Amino acid sequence: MKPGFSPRGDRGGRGGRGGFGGGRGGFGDRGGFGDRGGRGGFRGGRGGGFRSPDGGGFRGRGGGRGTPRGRGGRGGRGGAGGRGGFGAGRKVLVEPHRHEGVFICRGKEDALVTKNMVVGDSVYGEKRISVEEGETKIEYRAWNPFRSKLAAAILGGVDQIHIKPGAKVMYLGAASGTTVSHVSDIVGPDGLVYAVEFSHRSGRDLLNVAKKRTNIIPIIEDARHPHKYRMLVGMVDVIFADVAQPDQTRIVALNAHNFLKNGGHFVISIKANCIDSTAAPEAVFAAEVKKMSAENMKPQEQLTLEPYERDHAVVVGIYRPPPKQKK
Amino acid sequence: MTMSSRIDPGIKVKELGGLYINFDGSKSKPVSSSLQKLKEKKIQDEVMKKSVIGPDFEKKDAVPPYSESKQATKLKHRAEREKSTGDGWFNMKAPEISQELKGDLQVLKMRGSMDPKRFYKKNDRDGFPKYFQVGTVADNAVDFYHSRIPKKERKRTMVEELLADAEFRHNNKKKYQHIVTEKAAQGAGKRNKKKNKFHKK
Repeated sequence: MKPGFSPRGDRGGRGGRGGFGGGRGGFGDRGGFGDRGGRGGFRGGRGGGFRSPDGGGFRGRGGGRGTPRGRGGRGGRGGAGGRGGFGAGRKVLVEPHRHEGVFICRGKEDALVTKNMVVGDSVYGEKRISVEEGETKIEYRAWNPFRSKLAAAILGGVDQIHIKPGAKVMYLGAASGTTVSHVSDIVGPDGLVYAVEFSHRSGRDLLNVAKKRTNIIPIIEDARHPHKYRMLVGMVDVIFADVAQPDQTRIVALNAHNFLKNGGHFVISIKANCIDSTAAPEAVFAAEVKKMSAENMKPQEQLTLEPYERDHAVVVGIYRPPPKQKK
Repeated sequence: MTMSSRIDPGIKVKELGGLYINFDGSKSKPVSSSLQKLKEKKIQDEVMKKSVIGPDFEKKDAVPPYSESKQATKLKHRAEREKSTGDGWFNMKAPEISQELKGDLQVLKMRGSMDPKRFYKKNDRDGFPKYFQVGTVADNAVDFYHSRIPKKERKRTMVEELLADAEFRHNNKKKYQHIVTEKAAQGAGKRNKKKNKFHKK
């Protein structure tokens, strides 16, 4: 872990977003049809300089793929190759990522994947990779950094996510449960995810996800009032917050005071536009970090989600850190 | 007390084939086999020296506890631990590297040369990964029409996938011939150079 607090990232103009289909939509339409809006991110357009640190990534091959027929004048279809690197039936290699519970799938394209808790089930139409080991069948699900800020942070090279197998996680701003499903994959059957979402519309999707995954506890409540769901939630190890609200830090602090253990960690994704659309993003991030320090939350790391999200930052820190040992 | 009337040399002459030279081929016993027996017994004795089940085993009031040195247990645990990634990655096992797996790993390593229109970052590791699994991308209704491989064209390994890929083979062949001709030209050039030098002098 990094000893001090290190603001990171902001690597300047790295190509911008290119023409990725859909994108995430504003915060307003996160629920309900918002899920639709994000679709199609996988095969990006020309890919505005997006490269995962592991090489490759969800690149898509750029524009005109067209039908497999009629490429070049060499007659026939040109065999199995030449198509996308991630098509059904392809062989890929799955290996562990630096972060616990996360895996990388390597093939013609690289992808971040998590081990599927519910074999045979795809939550939001993501690709699955099945592995047969003797009798047992394991499955991995691709994790799209354009749809999930946590995945974007991992690919951006965050030092620690603190979410690992067996951890108890509180997820504020769960939306339709797309990222929540991956978090539930990471923590595995021994862990727990308390997924808090206020909107009933996206809460409905969240409930459907939670029905199949036993380690998700869905809470359809306002995260500003933790006392309303305090009887459902035990002590947690990590709080992940993706609530794009002006008083975001206060919301996280409230929940941390109620549920986060001493020395527990928080991971907050900040959207500069949602907090102050007139100020410069850097100033907004700095102000938020200052607010955290006032609430006994010690930020340790900050990085932008630049190629994946515009003007977003992820702040990772520790809550009520243990006192330093005197020498 | 009885006096021994014979001296026991420790060798049973009968087992060794007797004192007489036997001219009957079928009856004679090879000496080596009995010697081997002796050797085996010696090894057995060596092994059994450490065993708790000795001649005085019945006289003990309890079976002596099994103990191992700390170092030995440590080594054993480490070997056990290294067989899989542990809980952190849901006990992903380290597979035995077969020829096929090795081929796939090498393909992944050299994937930069697979497609001339595609570029990768350099490899972040020197050797091969220790823990990994080979998987297949599952069928998905969404990409039925554009990025699916029909069942007949599916292969078992990445190497076979590549070999079935006509475009890849075409490109590869072209590249190979290009390199060969280039090398040949270079060689010829060198020869000419030398000749020229010689002539200038």
